[in-house]
Amino acid sequence: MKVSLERLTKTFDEKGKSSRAAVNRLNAEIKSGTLTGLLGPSGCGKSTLLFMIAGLHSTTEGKIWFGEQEVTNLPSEKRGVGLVFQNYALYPHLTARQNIAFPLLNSKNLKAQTQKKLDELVKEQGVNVKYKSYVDSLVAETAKLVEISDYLDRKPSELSGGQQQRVAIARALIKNPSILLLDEPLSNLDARLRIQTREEIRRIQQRSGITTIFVTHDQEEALSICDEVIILKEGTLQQQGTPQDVYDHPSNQFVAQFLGNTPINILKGKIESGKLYVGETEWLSLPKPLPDQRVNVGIRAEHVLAASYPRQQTLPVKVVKSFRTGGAFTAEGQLPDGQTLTFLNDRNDPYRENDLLRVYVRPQTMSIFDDKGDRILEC
Amino acid sequence: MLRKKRNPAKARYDNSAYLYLLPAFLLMGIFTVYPVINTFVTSFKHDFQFLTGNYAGLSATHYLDVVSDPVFRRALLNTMFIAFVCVPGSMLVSLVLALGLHSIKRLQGFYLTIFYLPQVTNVIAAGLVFSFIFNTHFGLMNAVLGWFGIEPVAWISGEGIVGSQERYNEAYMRSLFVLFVNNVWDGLSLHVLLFLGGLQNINKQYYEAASVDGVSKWTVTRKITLPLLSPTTIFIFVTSVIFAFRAYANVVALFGGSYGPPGDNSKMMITLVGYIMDALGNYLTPGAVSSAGAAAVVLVLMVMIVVFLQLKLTKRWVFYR
Amino acid sequence: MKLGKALLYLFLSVSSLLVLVPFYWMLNTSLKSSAEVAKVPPSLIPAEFRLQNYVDAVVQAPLLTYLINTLIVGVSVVAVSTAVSVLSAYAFARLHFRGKNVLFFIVLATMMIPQEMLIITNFQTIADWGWMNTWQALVVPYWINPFNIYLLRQTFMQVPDELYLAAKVDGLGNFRFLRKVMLPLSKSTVTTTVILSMVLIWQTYAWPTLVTTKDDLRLVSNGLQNAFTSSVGNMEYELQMAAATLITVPLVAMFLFLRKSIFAGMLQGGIKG
Repeated sequence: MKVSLERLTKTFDEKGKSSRAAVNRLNAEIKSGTLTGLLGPSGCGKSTLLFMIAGLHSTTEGKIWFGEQEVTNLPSEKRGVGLVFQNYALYPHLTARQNIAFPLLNSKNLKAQTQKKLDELVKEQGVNVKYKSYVDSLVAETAKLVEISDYLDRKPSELSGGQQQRVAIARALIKNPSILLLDEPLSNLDARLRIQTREEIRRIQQRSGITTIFVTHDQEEALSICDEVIILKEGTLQQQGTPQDVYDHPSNQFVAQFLGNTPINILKGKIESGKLYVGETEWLSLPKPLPDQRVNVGIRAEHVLAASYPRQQTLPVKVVKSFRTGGAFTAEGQLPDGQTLTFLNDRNDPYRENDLLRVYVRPQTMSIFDDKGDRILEC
Repeated sequence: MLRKKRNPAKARYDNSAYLYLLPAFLLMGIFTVYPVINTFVTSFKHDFQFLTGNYAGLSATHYLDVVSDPVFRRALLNTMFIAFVCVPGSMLVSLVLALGLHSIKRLQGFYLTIFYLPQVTNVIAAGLVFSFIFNTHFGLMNAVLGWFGIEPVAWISGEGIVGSQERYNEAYMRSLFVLFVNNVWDGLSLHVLLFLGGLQNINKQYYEAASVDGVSKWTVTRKITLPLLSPTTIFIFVTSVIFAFRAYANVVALFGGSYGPPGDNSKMMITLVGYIMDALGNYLTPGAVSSAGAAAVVLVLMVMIVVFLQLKLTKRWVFYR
Repeated sequence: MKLGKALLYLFLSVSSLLVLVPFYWMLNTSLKSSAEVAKVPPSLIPAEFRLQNYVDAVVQAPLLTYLINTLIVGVSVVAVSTAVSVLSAYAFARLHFRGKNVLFFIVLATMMIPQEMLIITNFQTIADWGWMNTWQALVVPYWINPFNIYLLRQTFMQVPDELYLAAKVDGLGNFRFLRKVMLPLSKSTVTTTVILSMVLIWQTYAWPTLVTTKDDLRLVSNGLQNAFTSSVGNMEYELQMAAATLITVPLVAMFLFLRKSIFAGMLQGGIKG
């Protein structure tokens, strides 16, 4: 099911304060059957956006479409979405099995839908199955999909965090939703479990083929499993694209700085007469001519290459620090005008303090932003 | 650098602590611990004389006297009524009110203040007011009934009950009704507040999850709210029953010092504590204090048994540890 | 407003009116003349507001005496019992001494003992000491309140250890620390215990009934019950209701004034509106 968002805006009215838009004129289209991540720092409006798609928050302005149907004013239960809360919201007094079955047994809407399916099944196969048993079989099926079958008769307090989450996902999936929404599914888990669980989410999504949207503030997580990411800042769409796309070609400085485990280097410089200067040092000639201006140059640490032989268009760097975190070896160096450059270190022969070297960068791997942080150069 | 003491047992003992505790324990000793033992012992002192302290040996006669006393049985019946009819009634009304309060935003504090008002009234004053509301000739209740063309009812004045068992039972039923109304009015004040507190403790996300699934409000209340409220409910039930067993002042205010209509000697509406107090009132009679003690011991035992049973039975209904 | 919400407000409004009925009736009757009280059926609003009833009630009862007695007893009980509770709670919360746990368990156990068991022997004790019809009899037994000790201990325990150790380094003795640090930090709980004690004295009936037989020592509750309640002859309902009003008003006023903090103690989310 495709999800289209048209000029979506949400403001919260607060007495006495001028309302700031939590989501601001957002336009986006999420393709059917994909796993999409809503990524951004805290407070950027991603959860608000998710809840608007779910129908828990009303729309101040704009429209939401599920496929060809406009759902903007449709109440939550009629939208056919499954929602998994950050804290799972599992009913503590019911077992996992009862939690998963709950929607199908207690919602008039869903009961009718499921009953219809059962009726068709009965007609087709000629078997006589009671509604409750049908629901039980659906529970078993969904449990198998999320791999929680062995724990169905436990109460949430008897399950680990990861297991609780799978129950919550099962409860959302059993409705056969056209869209599955997850609010920060991994933030309550410890580091190792996070990696394992995100792969499971990926797996479940691929097996079921349901359009899935999840909210996260962890860029590594989003980049590793999503088909596409939508990056938000203060309610505004910054960029939408595949992980590789947004990583290699950030559309603005915010995106560039937000993504990447090692923060991207941002060097202040200028363009003068078609040449790029870092600080006051002339560095290289631009492949495409651009007007003279102050610029910020974004270079990822892994794209800073040491010149092993003298060549053109290099920058002199004096090594200031050399460090290692686990298996990652990086070094920090100082440019002539005092700016810092972070780059990768040789694990076999790490740089030492005060080493001098010359570095170069292939222009296609750079991102050049204007003063305000907007991208100006397509490399 | 200040470090937390690792092993408090090894730390220096602060003997001045005993000075701090002295007043409390002195008072407790005299007015709490000693009385428990003494009351228990006195209840076995046959024909205990209050003024001299003499008694005719130890026996359980007073227990037998008490248990076979029809007035005691009456008191037991009335107290049970308060504990197991009035309390659930009050809880039911309060639960409905609390659910209503929980669903509104505006004026919630306003309504809650009104509902809590009975809690701050003097028990005697309230009882007297209720007594007057149900006054046969001048009371509000009969006035209201009169609007609907109903004849005045002798709620507590017990007219014509002398000599007629049937009339007596009628009067008793009516008095029970008055007691019920007074107890519910008084009880709901605290219960509404406690239920509301319990409701507010339920995480709102459960409701959000249910709304995405399209579960109706009534089903949500039945299958989510009430189960999650059960610890609060049980707490209220157990503590209210314990207090119900202590009912005394309001009954005196409602029905007078003779616990019933004038001219009737059966002490129609007496409670267990009332029985104890009356026995104490006769303290000069030999053995009166012993009987009072026996009744008190029986009362405490009953409360303990009732609470034990309550906790056992309700354990099944709570899903929490 | 949706129909459901409107019905809900209607339901709540009707319920609150019902709850207020006794207050209304009390006030209504208290302002009538005795002739009007005797009207059948009774009038819903007094024909004329007879404030004289209040004066009569005070004179006849003697209500003023009861009120003053209650106030005196209340203040002395509050003062002493709070002091006793604070000292004990402090010892349990902060000091180390042998037998701490056992002694605290005893306090907890006494919290669960019902009044009825105590009242008999305490009556005997009072009589033996010749304290019948004295101030001491009314006040002293209330000086011990295990529940307050428990409550205050819980609050004191929330004051971090570091404050105590820092004070110790500064040379502050135990008692100083209690006065200058613990108490100011625990103001709200102490206030709650003061209120609870005061309300307790206002409501108490059984004990005062036992130990006071003379009017000049009665408290509001047993005083009210005894006055105006004559089984023979005409009951002066209008005076009785006036007296009841006078007794109810102070507590209601205090409640309305303090309601936010009373509710805050018991509700997590506070109240809206």
